[in-house]
Amino acid sequence: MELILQSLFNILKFDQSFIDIVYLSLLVSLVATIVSAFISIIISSHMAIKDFFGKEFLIIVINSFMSIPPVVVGLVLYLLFSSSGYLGYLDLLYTAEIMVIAQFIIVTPIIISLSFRTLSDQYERLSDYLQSLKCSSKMVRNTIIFESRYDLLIIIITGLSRALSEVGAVIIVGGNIDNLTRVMTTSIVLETSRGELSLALSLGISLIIIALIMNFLIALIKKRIL
Amino acid sequence: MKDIYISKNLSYKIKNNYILNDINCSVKNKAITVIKGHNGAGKTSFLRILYGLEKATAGYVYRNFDQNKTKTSYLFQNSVFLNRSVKENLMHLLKCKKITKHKWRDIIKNGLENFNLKHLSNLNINSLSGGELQLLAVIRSILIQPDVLFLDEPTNNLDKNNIDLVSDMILKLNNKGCTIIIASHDDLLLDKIIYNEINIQEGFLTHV
Repeated sequence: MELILQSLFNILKFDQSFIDIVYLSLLVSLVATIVSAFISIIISSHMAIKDFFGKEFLIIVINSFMSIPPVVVGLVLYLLFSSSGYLGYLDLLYTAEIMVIAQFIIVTPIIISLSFRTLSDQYERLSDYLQSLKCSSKMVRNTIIFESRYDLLIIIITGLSRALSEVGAVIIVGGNIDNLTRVMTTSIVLETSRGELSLALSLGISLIIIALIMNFLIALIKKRIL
Repeated sequence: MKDIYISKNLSYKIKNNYILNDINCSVKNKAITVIKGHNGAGKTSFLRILYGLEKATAGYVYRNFDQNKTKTSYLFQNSVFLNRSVKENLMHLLKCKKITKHKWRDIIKNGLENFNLKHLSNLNINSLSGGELQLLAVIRSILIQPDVLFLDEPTNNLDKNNIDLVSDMILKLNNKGCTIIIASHDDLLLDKIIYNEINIQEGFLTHV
């Protein structure tokens, strides 16, 4: 009980280093998710309205990437961006930028796969009507995206949740450096190993509060309140 | 009057089931043509092939008009709508058809007024009744003043008063030179118009 009270106290005293960790977590995950959502929805809407050679195979590959272990993504990026790697000259290892790239890679298959299903269903519902209007492909794409806007928002929030809770990849490529690449999940791992359980619990509670806020947002979107 | 749609040896099958068999007929320009037949006879399939929504399995449809200059429109048997307001549904259509934006307001106002639906303009599509949705589908199909209009069961869910509105609309449009092709067996509608008949039974043409 004392531990929980101490954790809540840690949150409420708004310690600068605590705020920095939460801020960096949100920033990295939001940037990764927004960039991913933008690209993923363009790709998935194209896949939904066009038939092309290898489409089925592509869907299987993307679905498989949904379950790729984050540590593998972290390892591959580490090998690519380490000083002896092909992209080592970019000097991105142990920066927030590479953490964004790692989360982008983890979140993108999830958003593409889920939005592809939503947009395909929407296209199936509207295809006859849109075909009868002889709409341009761009108009068809914009229409099905707009018609699926609530479901797509839920998918994007799901992607954001996944990014925020990710630890395996960002700890490898970010290095969990204080004031530079330390985010909530990596910090929880560190503080737990150091025995600073109240701080670890504070971060855990903050993560749960953020997850709750996002789930409330999903519920509101589902009810079309937002 | 010239023929604007000519169907030659047209057949259509889904999987191994023939829906249409060797259909030879034509549709006259600026006339009303009614495709008759009992449920499942192949009326909708024939209409969709004529419009270009489906491809024939064998044979072909010759369209004897400039497809870039002729405005065509199709009313579906089960119309779908966008999850927006009535007005926004109509705006989407006008945007697709590249009608200049400053004309939208008048076009939509007149369209809704002709069918006494102006009061529904700002309502979401989900709050409309079946009859109101069908009327809106009719409005949507004629909003761009088409040269050729396809109507698949246009009087579904409509009461007698609204069927009268639809038949008046069909006659008015036809008087202006619009070619109208209807799939229907609603006598309340068909009794009010003079038309050429194409009769399809079990996928075979029985009467032209």
